[in-house]
Amino acid sequence: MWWSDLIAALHATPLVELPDFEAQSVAAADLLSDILATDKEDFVILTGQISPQAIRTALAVGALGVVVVRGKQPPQETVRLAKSYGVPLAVTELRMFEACYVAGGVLWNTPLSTSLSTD
Amino acid sequence: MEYSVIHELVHRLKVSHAMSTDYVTVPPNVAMRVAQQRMREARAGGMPVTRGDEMVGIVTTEDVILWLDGGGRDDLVEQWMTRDVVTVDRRWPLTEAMGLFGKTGFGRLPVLDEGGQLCGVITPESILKSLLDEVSAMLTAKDEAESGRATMDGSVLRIEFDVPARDYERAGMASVRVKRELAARGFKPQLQRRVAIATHECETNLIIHTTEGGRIVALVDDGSVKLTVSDKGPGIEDIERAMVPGFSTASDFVRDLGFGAGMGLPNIRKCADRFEIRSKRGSGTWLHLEFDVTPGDRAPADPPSTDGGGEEVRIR
Ligand SMILES: Nc1ncnc2c1ncn2[C@@H]1O[C@H](COP(=O)(O)OP(=O)(O)OP(=O)(O)O)[C@@H](O)[C@H]1O
Ligand SMILES: [Mg+2]
Repeated sequence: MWWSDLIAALHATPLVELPDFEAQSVAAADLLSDILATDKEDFVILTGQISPQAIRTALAVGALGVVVVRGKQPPQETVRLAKSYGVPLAVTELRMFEACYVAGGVLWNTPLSTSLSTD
Repeated sequence: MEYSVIHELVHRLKVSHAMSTDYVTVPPNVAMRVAQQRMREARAGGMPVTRGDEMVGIVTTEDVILWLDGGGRDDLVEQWMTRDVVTVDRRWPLTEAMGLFGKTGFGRLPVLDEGGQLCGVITPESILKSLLDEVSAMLTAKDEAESGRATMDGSVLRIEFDVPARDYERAGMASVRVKRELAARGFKPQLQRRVAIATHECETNLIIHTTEGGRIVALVDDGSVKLTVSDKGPGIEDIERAMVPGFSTASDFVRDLGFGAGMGLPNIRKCADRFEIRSKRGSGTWLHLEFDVTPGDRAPADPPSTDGGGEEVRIR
């Protein structure tokens, strides 16, 4: 799955843009330790966390990118960290479940209904 | 700020870093009044004039003033726009764009992509903003790099961190630092990851659960990475219980910040090759972790990258 395809499918707004890359998997969690406990490789994170810790968590597990769900706007500090550490960061209005559903569609290439709403 | 830093930045950063992709455009065949209105609403000093995907000109406040002076009420944009547009390529270094601003005196320049399509607008303000962003990113990275004290003890690298309690914002700083040091020493990503995760979890436990914070000491040599983590309380009531995945005493407030899954200690044990924990209610907690470094965990003696050409401090 290409990052750009994921971002497009999630209608996400990129906050930190870097060259496109391919990911094999997605880890979705709001609690950072749940993300730190994953065995996945080459994955991107879906989370409701917008604090700088979210970026450091991504670094610790070597996640390839972070998508914030529920349209939460990460503070400057988070964007700054993502930029300085080269972690692509984007925000989608979709809630976690919908975002996972859409990400699954991109990941496994399954046809999806496109009528997901955010409310 | 040193001159050389900015100088280096404007050479390294590309136009694409500093351009705004959130710009307004106007078609050539609408009234100047429309252009005037759009510019006022967007508080833009000018706009690319586009027909479909194609940029056919640019219209600026100056054109609007001239049009107003001429009293030309019903004129179309195409009658007033500048057709011969000075543009920049998004791959150019910032210096090129800055040079053009100086030379032309224009307040904005449309940015074209590799295919010659309009993809952004760059202004002195957007350049300044990108430079400020970049400088603060550099300062943040520096802050993190300096969050611990590193010393060499023979061939052993020792990094020490004092982790204050309840400083949630800084969670992960020690982890980032340790990971960076391992990366610089050529340790493979898999080992970096195990150590970074364990450090991260130890760090957050000091921040969340201790009364006065604690200390992390990392010892790194060719054969192993060792972490010792200690604090002065409150100590763990029932260690066995604390080790159960999902067990957590974190408050709702702390959970809102993303901690308290109860996965820290079990995950630390999983990541480390040797794991020891001692704790006594009332006196504190002590952890010792060891990570074996096999020959496969290290890349052939690669010095820390100092090529200076890298885009950012990439440490994964
Ligand atoms: N240094 C410590 N001092 C006192 N209690 C601790 C310490 N470390 C852990 N604990 C106790 O052990 C429990 C389990 O710790 P663990 O790291 O597994 O989970 P957590 O910190 O609650 O959540 P998570 O690590 O998933 O964010 C904690 O909830 C806390 O009660
Ligand atoms: Mg913990």
